[in-house]
Amino acid sequence: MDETSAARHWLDDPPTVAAILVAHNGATWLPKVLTSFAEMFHAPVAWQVVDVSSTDGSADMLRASFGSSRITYAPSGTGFGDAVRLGLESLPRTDWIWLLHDDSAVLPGTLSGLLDTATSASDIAVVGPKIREWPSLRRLLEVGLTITATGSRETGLETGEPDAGQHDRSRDVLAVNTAGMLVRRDVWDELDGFDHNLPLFFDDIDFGWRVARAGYRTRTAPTAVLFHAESSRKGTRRRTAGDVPHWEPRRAAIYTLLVNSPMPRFLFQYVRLFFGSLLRVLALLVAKDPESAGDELLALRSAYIHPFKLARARRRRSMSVRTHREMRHLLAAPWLPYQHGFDAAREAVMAVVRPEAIETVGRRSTILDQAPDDSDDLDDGPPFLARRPWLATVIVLIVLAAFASRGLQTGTLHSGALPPRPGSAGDWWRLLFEGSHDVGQPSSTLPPVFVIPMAVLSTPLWDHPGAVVSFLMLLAVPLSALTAHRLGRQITPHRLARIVWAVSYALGVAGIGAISQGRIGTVVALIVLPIIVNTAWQLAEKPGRQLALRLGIWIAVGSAFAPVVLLLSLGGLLILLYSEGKWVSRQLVVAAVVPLILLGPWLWQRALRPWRMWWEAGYPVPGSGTVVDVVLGRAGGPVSAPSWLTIPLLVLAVAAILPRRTRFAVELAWLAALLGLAVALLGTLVTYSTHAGPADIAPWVGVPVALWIGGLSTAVLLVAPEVFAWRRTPMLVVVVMALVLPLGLGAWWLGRGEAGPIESGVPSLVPVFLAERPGDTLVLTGTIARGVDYRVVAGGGPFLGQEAVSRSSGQNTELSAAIRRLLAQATAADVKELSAVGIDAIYAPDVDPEVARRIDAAAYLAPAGSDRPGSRVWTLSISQGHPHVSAPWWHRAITGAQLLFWLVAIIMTAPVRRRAVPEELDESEEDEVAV
Amino acid sequence: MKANRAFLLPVIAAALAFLAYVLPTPSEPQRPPSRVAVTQVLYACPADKTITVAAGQVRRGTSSSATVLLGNGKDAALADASTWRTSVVDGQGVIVDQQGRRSGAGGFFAGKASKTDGGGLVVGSCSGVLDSAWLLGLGSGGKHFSTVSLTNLANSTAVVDLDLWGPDGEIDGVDTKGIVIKPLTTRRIRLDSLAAGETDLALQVLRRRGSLSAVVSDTSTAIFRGTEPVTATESPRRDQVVGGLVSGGSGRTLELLNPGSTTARVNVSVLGPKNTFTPSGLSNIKVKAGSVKQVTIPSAAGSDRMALHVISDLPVAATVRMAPSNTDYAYAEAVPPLAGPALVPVALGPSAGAPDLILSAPKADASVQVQAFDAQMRSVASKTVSIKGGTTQHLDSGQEFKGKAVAYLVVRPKGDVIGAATYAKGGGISSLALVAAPETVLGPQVRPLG
Repeated sequence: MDETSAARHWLDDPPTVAAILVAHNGATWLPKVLTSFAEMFHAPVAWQVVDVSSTDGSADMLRASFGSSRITYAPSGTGFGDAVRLGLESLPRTDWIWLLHDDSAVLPGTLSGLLDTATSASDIAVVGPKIREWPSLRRLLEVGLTITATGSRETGLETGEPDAGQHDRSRDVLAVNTAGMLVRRDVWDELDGFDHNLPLFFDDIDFGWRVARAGYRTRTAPTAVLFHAESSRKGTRRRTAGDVPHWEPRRAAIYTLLVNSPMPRFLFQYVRLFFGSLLRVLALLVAKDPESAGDELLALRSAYIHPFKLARARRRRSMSVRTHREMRHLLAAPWLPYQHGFDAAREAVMAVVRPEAIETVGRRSTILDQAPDDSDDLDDGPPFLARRPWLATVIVLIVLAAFASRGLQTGTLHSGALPPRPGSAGDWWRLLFEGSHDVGQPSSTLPPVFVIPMAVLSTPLWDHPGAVVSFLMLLAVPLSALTAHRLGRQITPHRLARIVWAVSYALGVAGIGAISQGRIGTVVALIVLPIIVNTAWQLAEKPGRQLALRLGIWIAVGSAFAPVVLLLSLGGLLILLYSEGKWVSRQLVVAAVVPLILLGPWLWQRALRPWRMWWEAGYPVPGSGTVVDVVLGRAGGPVSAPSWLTIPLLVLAVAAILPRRTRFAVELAWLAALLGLAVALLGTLVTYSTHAGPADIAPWVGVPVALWIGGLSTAVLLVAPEVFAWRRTPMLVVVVMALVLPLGLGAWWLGRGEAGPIESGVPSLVPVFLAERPGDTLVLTGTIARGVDYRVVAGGGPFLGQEAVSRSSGQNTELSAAIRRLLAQATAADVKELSAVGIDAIYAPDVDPEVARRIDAAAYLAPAGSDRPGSRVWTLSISQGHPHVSAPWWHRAITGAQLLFWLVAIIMTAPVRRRAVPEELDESEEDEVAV
Repeated sequence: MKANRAFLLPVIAAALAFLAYVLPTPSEPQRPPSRVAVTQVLYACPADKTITVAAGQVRRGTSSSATVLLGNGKDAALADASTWRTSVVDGQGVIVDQQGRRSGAGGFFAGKASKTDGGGLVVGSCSGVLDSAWLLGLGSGGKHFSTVSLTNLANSTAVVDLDLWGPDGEIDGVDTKGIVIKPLTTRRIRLDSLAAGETDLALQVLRRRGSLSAVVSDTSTAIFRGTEPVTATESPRRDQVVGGLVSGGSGRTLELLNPGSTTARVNVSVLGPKNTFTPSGLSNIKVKAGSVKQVTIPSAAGSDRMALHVISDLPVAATVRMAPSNTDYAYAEAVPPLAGPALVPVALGPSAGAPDLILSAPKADASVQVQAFDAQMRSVASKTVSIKGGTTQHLDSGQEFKGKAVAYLVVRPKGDVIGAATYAKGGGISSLALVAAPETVLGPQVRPLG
């Protein structure tokens, strides 16, 4: 039977209730609070007010309302429990005590509702109301309380959860808030009230725990509603001397857990809370909240420094009617602390990525919450597309990306340029810290820096590191659009134009073929490039060390995947210096130096051979971009969108120079575009070699081409507002020209899809049966007439990152000579030399007949079956050696130091949080209390 | 001014593009094959109680071993890589494995065939690993029989295909594809077991797998009598020179093979002692598609030592059978110009005497230095022979180096020289085309991809 609808039998013989109101500087709320007391259906028989050294005029208000005889004055620093004790001394003995705060207002039926529940069973000792928020009055704060194993106060409600009756069922709980708590007087006396050691926080939970242990029940009475401003917790109450320190809530939580945990759980909690708190200190320091970290440390010290106090408190609680097992259902679920930890970690990450989204005033804002009451808003308003056009665009792009990547979503992504993912995230971590890399021929080359972010991102997914690769590659378009749009917000307030601009940029990533060719370096670089420009823009507007550091970090991220980004960024910094002048020069130096430190020796090695800046993450597959391709925004290669789509953009970009008002900004956009064009054209004139050997590889110029086109698009975007002011016909012509590129790219992207050359499946450079052999496989490609290339592959081939740690050409001289002799006139000695370096099979995927004939003539090589037509396999019939190379000890030290540099740089770039300074409440909001 | 400055930007873009367009772009580097020093030479020689096997080298090697087939014993006499050595090996054959950087090792064999086999002098070079061999002038009937000996030089199975052509076209022989030769064994196949009754056959030996050498023994008791080991001629081509034709106006037959699908037209000119000329009867010779043709070299070609320059509109293979007497015959094959020093055996046992070197310079003037060495690889004499372009000269090494205890000769060319060493003794004749000793071999450019 619903207790609230039952007839109020207790009215026949109503239980006596004495109310105690504890006040301390509550003048802000007392007028409304006192008014609410005057209109109750059923009122307490006695009142006593305890004023704890108020200095804001509260005492006068209370005297005026209750009279001097009903006021007890407590000294400053008196805890809530002690104040109640003081009040009780002046009260007659009643059946129930009703505890009230000076910032909690009641409804006329609050006490009646509490008594309905209180009189429903004889073992109910404590009843609490449904507490709603003040001033919104509609959102729930508490309907009962419990505590987690790590000391968090748990209400079981979502933040800002509106009251729609979903918690209107009375239930047993561990505890209720002292605001509006109705306590049986005999139980209060039996348990000696609130613990003296809990003056303000967690006294309710501790009391409820003791009530439960004593065999009584604490129950919620949802029909009884109370409005609570939570001024102590929020810090909106004016502080005076004697108030509890900032770390008191945490100390109280630790104390409550330790004094109430039964044996042997207490021992576990004693150790867990100690180390857990230290971990929290560290986490708070990482999250740039030093004040909270300090509070945590002081709370820990205070809780653990008085073991005898703990022991005495535990002794007082030693008598127990109910076992812990019988009460376990009243405590919080064991997984809740971890959910809180995850939420905290997510907030910390947001602080780095979107610092403007974080209020730097602690986790819960002291700004009075607004009351977006959706339930009262019956008007639908404009459609979703009109209200949130960018969000709608992103959703559409994600759906289109899923369609464009048809056939690629399952399996392992790989292509000629993209090695497959490793078996687990542990493989990437191992690659960073192992001294010797077993990638065919053992090498001790320093690992590439881009493995660091890949390892970090894939660690939560541990056994599925490919998800990170797939996420970056298959969602490259929406990701690029997101970062570009954020930059677009800086460029223009014109929403539609910047959406088109961002989408054009994103589709350009697909249009140059970076996704289809599996060029992960270009893809990541182009996702990050708008962030770099955005951060540089912010730096120009508001120079600061943290922004400069953040800019340096993003440049390092982009450069780790595509080193050419560093060159472009340095050029961009010069453009910034030109446009802003000397007042940003110091910050630009920071932004330029930070990548050099973060990229470390790996970069210095590239700098010694500058053309190697073209070697991006993945295999160094040549590009084939011509001058015409570059000018028309293409980078060459087997996949790219039609070049003519860019012609209208070129025309518009030139015309964008005309308007005088935007000319300087357009100039800067053109300068950035020219930087990209110059670097891209340079790439068509040079070749580079990797450290593995001379290869005369033509660079892939995707990144600078994207900068070229991106710069031109930006020039057009800058004049868009001017264009929309023109007359209809010329404006339409310009709009149509501007839409040719995004619409054309989009149609091409969707029509062609992203598959090919990139594919999804089981990748292997060699047939599966060769991958499973214990030795390495020598893979031969090319012809006798035009030269033969070789690669020594361990297992199925290298995973992403391993392709960059192969042996240097100097170390391969003897092997190259042996292979050359093998292909000239194979002798047993040459085959033995191959075997000595661990090779036990030779695989020629598209074999030159002359190569096959020569290898056929070699001793100790037996032909074996192969996996596809046109390929040949030979296996060595002699046992292999197991070559090994040791890396110098300082390789690991360098990698460890690099990781540390990255961590420190990222932490330093996050905003520092400060403790909230309470704001005075606006008087108009006080009037919102609905009675 | 500021507007002008701004409009400079597209101009700069255009200028950059133009500059990049006109500047030379790196082309894909050429990586042609280049010479690689040979460090190991492997060859197989036929063996018999009547055959003398000789082994030598241009430079001293580091080690050598000779494995006798059928028994796998070793022949110690052939195991010294620093001398010219001979041995009569009692076995089915012998495989010589010589180590040494650029040693240019080579093996030869010589003997006298029995009368039942046609009799005659047999001098041949031991064959190393071959990829493909074209052999003309063979037979499988009409008292003319050829036997191909396939030797597997390694310890893995070898597989070979044999293709046959006759005067009437390509012959679909029995079991000629995928012939398996077990490791370190010799398999002898009579051509009449593949395609019987053909007096004139051409054979291509195509190695599919393994390390294989091939020697063909040709015997005849027909119009031309004798025995000769047939050496591979050049693969079909449009321009080739068959050198080393001995003197004697009769008994010279040009064997032509057209393996293609269209009739080939062949013109032959003679590189004589004084000049090059085209005698009547050797021009516009038609060779039907897929067939073998025999062309008697007319007397108008002269009876001097000569070479034949064979030019055709389609690739053909060519060999000349020389039967100056009715007691023995020899073959002269088309070979490429000497690319390096050639080893010419002299001390080949009692069967053969010192050779007559027949040297031709097909195009420009050339010369050769003929150096004579004793068995300890000491130079004992030297002679330079100049050859006018388009002519053929000869050097009788027996006369030239008489009394010098010559074991072998090394012929070093200057310019394009094609030659052969012919051996004649007691009515027997045999010819050995001069080929460069295996000091270097063409190897591809190799680079690691990482």
